[in-house]
Amino acid sequence: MLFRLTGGDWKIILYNLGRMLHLLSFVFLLPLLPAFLYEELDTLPYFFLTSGLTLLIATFLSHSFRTEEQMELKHALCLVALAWLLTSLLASFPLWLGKACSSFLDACFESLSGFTGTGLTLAVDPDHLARSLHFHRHLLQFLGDGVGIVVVSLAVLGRTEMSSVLAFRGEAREEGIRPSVIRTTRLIFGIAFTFFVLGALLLTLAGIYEGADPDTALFDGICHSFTGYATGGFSPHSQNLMYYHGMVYEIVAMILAVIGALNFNLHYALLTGRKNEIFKNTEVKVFFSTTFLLCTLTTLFLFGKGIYASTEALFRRGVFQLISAQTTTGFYTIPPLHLVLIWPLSLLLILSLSMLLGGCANSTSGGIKSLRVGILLKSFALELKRPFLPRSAVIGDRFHHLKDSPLTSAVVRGAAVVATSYLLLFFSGTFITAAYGYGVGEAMFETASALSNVGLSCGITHPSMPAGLKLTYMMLMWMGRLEVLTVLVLLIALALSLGRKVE
Amino acid sequence: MAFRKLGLRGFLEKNWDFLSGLVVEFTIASALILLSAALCFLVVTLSSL
Repeated sequence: MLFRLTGGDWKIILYNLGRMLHLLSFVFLLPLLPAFLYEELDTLPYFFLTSGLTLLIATFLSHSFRTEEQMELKHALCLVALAWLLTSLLASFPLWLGKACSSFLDACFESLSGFTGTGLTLAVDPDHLARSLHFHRHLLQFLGDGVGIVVVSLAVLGRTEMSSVLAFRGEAREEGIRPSVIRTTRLIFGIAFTFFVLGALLLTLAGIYEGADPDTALFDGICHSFTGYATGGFSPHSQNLMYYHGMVYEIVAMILAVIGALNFNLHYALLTGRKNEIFKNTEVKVFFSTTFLLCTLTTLFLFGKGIYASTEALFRRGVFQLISAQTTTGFYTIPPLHLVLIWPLSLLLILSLSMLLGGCANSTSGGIKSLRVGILLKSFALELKRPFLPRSAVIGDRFHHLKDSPLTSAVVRGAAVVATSYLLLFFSGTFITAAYGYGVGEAMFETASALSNVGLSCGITHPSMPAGLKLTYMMLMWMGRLEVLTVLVLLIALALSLGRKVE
Repeated sequence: MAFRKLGLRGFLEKNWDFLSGLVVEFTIASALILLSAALCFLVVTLSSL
């Protein structure tokens, strides 16, 4: 018997959504700081309007649907899925009003891409965009993907700790670092803020070293640190990191992206003195091994085809793109069309694979995640071993992720469900893109990029692309960020509720 | 404020785990990139032989 969400259930969801939006209405005022600093007073109304509208909706929801009922898992899943959609919709207003995008749909695409930490962009002319609007775009990535503002706001404003615990599960960050959710969110924010400050400092220095003026270097450093740690990939420049054209800047950006792709629990273990965890953790081993393997293949193919002759060019073009794909960051140092026109198809497929694999679970990166890949590989090895053992033999394996855990069938099933749903969405997205007339290789690449919240593009994502494809990629980004199931729960709940009304 | 109260030594002792953790994280991330660069160099060298 399936649960159907009743009016009372929707009341709980909408009431908590209203409370969450209260915090966001203040967050939308943060770009006022650069607006005043850089004397872009014409952008002030956009942010005031967005914040005011958010506050209005928040007040309406929290007053109209006031309830004392406690939140359950089904409410949390629907709430998180709705919150991501509504927040992206509201965040698109400054981009639309400020003419950063040519239509409202493009602005929605841009803000959803930002909020999910994807980085695919439809901005018309980023090089001449107001800095306050850039700050808004980059801050969206940091708060949405880097910090997880939806959960943070519930932890701060939620009436019970349970609501935040459940929201954690909805946001695919199911492993709590500490028993107290308030402390966990403070920790996540603290870790994110520490790496943001360090990243901004290093990127500013690297920018000055590469020849940028200190003012530009500082603003770019802040923006790239927001998106580097959040493995987002937005940049204030249309050329992305090619603008700097310098190895030092690229290396610092790569370091920040790798740190962003590591598990929050691992950060916590390392920052509280458990340094050995990094050498024992199964997920880190899988992440590093797949990166090295795919790096070797990328280098071999690029060198074999004679595309880049020197080690430096191979490293700065090939390895950079691969690490950007694997960490699901989306920074790039070659023009997107090079991927289709110069790079061989085999490399497009390797990059697609690395994007699908993604970084570590419970991090800012997307994709299937290394922990699940490790669990599935171990399970695969066990199944291979089984026929060679006596029938009475009891076989089993363990994996280390903060503690030694047995490889139970429930663990394997959980990993397999997420991996299968990712692959189904990947093939569906590829099919739809190919149906619009794009090559299969390009379709696979762009779909993997949207689904795993990467942001690398081979040229398909462009303001002139068909509206249907924009909507498809928006759906993929939303589902990919919430690891598919959360969105499916919302859609099924909506369908069942509508079905009951029809009855 | 806390820094002034504790002094450099006291501050370092109190926050040793956190600061050394930060160094370890940057070192690990740098090691991944360095090893990738080394792999790149190895492939170029071996392929050129």
